[in-house]
Amino acid sequence: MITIPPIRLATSQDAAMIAEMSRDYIEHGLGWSWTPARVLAAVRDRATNIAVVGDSEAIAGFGIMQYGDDTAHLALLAVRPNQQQCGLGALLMAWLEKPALVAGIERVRLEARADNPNAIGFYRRQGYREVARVSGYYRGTVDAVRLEKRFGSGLGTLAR
Amino acid sequence: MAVAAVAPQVQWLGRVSYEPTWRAMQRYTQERDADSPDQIWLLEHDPVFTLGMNADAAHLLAPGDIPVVQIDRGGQVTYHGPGQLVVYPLIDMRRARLGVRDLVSMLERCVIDCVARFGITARCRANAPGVYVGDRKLASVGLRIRRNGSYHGLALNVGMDLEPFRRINPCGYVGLEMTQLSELGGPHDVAAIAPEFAALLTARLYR
Repeated sequence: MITIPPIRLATSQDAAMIAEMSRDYIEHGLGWSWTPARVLAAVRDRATNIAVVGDSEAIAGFGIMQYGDDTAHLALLAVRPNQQQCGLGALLMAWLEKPALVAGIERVRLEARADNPNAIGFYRRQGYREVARVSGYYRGTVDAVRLEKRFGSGLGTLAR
Repeated sequence: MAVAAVAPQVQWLGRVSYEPTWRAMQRYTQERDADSPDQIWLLEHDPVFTLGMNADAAHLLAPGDIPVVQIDRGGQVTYHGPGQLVVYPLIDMRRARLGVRDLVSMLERCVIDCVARFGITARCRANAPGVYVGDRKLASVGLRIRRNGSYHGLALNVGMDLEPFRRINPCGYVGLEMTQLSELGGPHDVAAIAPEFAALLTARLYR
């Protein structure tokens, strides 16, 4: 039986490993924009949540969500390759989506590398729909697929 | 948490109707500036069903003679009525150095601490907002953030007629049962618990 450790908010202790995971699993071939300093700033930003599975020496997966008034943006999500296919990604997404649902945020947006069909398939299974293709989104070299999940239909669900 | 620049104003509004109170929250949030004090409103509502931003009208099974209002908070359908403590924290989130998750957790934690004083053990859940005693829901949370200001908030069932909850699928969950403090050996009177809750919340917000 696989025991899934609880999801928690990242601390400053986690910043270096999260940055390394971004470099190795997400930003490969693009340079390194999510440096430890940038991750640390996100840890300290109250409008951003970084969800982590595992302790700071052995992070299995993480996700970074920024919450605005009407739109939340998933900046990064990664699960270590040897720990994929266990549902960790879906758990992280649900955990990060919870504040958006409680606060009436209408949509979550994200960009995925157009050359990563596995990621795009994962987000589709989480209820995300493609809304645009953004040419050269990553450093002018790799296209992004923008995906969106809508929560609130606004003030229109009751016939008036 | 940072200390607020201006002392918060805590107000007991008594029993008030839903829509004017909602509009007043929106107006305060729209008009507040960096010097405006935070406000914490505690009150009871006249009977009303409210449909949140994520509400599916199919969960409103048989509202009968209770009015239905479609509103701008997060979450699904719920019921408010006399005997339920409603708390609206109108907080400058940036000044208080709070995110949405922080405020939701703080409200849930205040309920857990408040009811523990009556010997009631309540819990929150990882992926569903609100506070539960066993499988039954004791308190619901739904917010809205505009211009860094929070409004809407928390509803804690104290000593009320729970029958209207059976006219809906509360929070969108079929068959979710509600409970209240008076059924759990706690107080029956909203006005009696409101000052205690306000003290717990302000202590957490401004410590």
